Amino acid sequence: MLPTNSLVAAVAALGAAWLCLTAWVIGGRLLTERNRRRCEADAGVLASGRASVRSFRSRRLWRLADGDLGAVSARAASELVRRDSPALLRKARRRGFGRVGALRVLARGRSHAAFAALREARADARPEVTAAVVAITAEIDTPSADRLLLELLVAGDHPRSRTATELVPRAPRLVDQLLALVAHADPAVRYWALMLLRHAAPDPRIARAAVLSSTDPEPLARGAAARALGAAGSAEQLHVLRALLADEVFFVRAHAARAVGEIGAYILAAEVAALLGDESWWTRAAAKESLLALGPAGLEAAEAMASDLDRFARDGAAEVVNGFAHAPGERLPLRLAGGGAAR
Amino acid sequence: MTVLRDGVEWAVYICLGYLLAVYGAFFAMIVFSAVEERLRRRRRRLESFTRVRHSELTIPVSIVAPVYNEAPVVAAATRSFLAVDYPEFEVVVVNDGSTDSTLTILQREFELEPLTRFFRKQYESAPLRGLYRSRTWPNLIVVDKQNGGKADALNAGLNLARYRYVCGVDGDTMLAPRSLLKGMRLALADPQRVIGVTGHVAINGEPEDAFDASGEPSRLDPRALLAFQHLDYLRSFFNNRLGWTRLNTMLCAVGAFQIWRRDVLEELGGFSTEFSCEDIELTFRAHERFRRERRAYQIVSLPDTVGVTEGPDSVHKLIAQRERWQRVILETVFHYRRMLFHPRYGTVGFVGIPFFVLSEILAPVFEVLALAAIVAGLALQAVSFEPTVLMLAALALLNGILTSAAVLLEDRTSRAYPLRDLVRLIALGPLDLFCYRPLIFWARAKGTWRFLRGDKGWHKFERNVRAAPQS
Repeated sequence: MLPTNSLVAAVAALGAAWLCLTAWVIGGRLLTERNRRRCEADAGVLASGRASVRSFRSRRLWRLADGDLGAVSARAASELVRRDSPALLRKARRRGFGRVGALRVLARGRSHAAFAALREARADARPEVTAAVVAITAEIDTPSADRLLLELLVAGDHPRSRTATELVPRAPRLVDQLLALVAHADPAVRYWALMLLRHAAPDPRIARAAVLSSTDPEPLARGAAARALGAAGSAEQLHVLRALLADEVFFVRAHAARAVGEIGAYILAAEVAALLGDESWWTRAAAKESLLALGPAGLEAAEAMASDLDRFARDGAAEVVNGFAHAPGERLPLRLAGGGAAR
Repeated sequence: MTVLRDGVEWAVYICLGYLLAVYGAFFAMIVFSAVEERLRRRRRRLESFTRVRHSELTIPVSIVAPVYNEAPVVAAATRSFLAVDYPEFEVVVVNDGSTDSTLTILQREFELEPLTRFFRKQYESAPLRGLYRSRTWPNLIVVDKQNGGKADALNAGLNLARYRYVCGVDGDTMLAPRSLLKGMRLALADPQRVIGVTGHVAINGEPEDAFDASGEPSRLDPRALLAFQHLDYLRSFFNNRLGWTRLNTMLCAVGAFQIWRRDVLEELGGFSTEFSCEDIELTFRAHERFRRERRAYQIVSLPDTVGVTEGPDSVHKLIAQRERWQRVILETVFHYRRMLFHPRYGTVGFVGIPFFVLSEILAPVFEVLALAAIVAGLALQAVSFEPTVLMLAALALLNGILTSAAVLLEDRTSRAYPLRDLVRLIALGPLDLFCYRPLIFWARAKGTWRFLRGDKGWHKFERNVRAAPQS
């Protein structure tokens, strides 16, 4: 069997390892709590005006500047930038995630070197650093920040949906740049440009760009074109939406159906109703939503599908009619249940 | 006699070999988990939840909650679902033929009124008895149906769910306000690849009381049995599931919190009623399908506690629950055994399932063998007392290390539990081997036996006794 001495040594080593881990957990927690308390106290002092930001040591300022304390963080960051901008820049140029705090302080402190440092950090190619660059840039509401976010959207080295989320509130002032991206070689960029342009409507150029993109070879871009038409389209573009409703790709049809409902294009109600029998769940759901949004024309189109040969279409029509007839407190008849009740 | 002694010695060596393999696997997985946790923590350090919450690009979610005899908790649980901080969502509560006052409580608390909604019964389920909507909560629908089991109830809820993502939750789970935001953040980061998301659910005897003022789960149940279960869940999520995420071999998106892309559920045919439990089987089915078809996908686990669920507060209830879990694992792994070491299934076949086989399926076999070898060895004097005690101490400390690692990973993410609870959890770690593992050993042995006998019953543990809900 195993020698007792070896076992004793193993137990001692394991005990030491367990104690070390325990110390790590408890020490880490105590340190975090102490920092939080000090940070809150310092923020209170600064906010109340009992002390000037210049009387704080850099370490205390750093805690405030790298926190989420709004104006207090900005004041602390500005003071740090004033005191030793070169040192901050050196920290911001380090490799890896360690640079993130310095980048944040530079950006919040409105350092002239902040954008150069952020761009440098972007080149780091570490996903967590790129995520931090997006988040830091999103805090700044300037044209330089807009440009950097757009660059990140185009490069795609951070999930584009996340970068686009940060760009949504800026979309109205970025129409020109976004319109230029509608012709980008990467279909994902074209998609996001059109999706963001939705938030910049009304602008006649957006509808024109969407019309052009409606024949894009990439379904992603065609789908986004439909969504853009939903926000910026008019009667002149209905023929484009009609074509998109018959697209070969299911999600393009779904986006087009939603767009019809969004702009209230009741003339297309019958085409949308035809999608109630679509092979894709998503398209069928979008068609139902759209018909409900179209009001009486949607109801009429749904009723016309009540006797369709396709069970999906019949059931979808019944759902839409039921949705229209629904009123609080009353039990509703299933007018169109027909042969496919609840199946 | 010599043959017996030799046999005992061999048995001891075999068990030692197993222990080395299983603890080696656990520690290797912790390394992957730590890498994943660090990456996630860094990625979201500066991220703003507010922007995601207000963005039109955030995709709506349907929360589907099957409930069966959940009268004491159903109102609080449903309120927690409705209080989720998310731009657009609906809650579909499915009463799976409860025999207690679950439906009455729902009707009273949420002012339900009958609703007639035409819908396609795309997924098979037991017949519906009624459909209700709330006068006070426009995004709440309650489905009343005949009893058919949890998978059946989830399928009934799916038939009514409207949105592109579905979040399945247990009827006794209280969701934290930010659970959906946290879960959907991962899904939205790469909607084409991420098909499923799960997250850590804490254990408490009374989950509705386990949250702090900001809505974060942060209170540990004072009872030892529940604290040990809490530790067990922590280890399972923070030591294993994060590592599985790193290796894209998530083996079980837990039923208490599982977000799925609706089109994937549709493609997979919904939840299966053929198995004792639906969550692990669905996860295996998703892996099998996507790997077989060589499609890019990810099923991921959050490094966050997204809610609190009720744990059994007595030994016999715990054994009943864990016995079922063991059966479920055996059923699923046996059903998908073709994936084991099959190159087509990549890390799932070469890492995930072998990890499950080693740590869950073979465990009761070696536990029985080890127990028998120790008893026989001491009786035959083939094993001396001192090394046996030292071995047990080493194992206890190994469990303590695993526990401390899980607590460390959790605390670095959330900093939610008070320090005294952290100390208590860490102190319980080494005791786990003597106070909690024997119960799990018994439950696993029972579960294995029942699996071999072909038992597929649910054997839901009885609801913990507590005060009646306030009207």
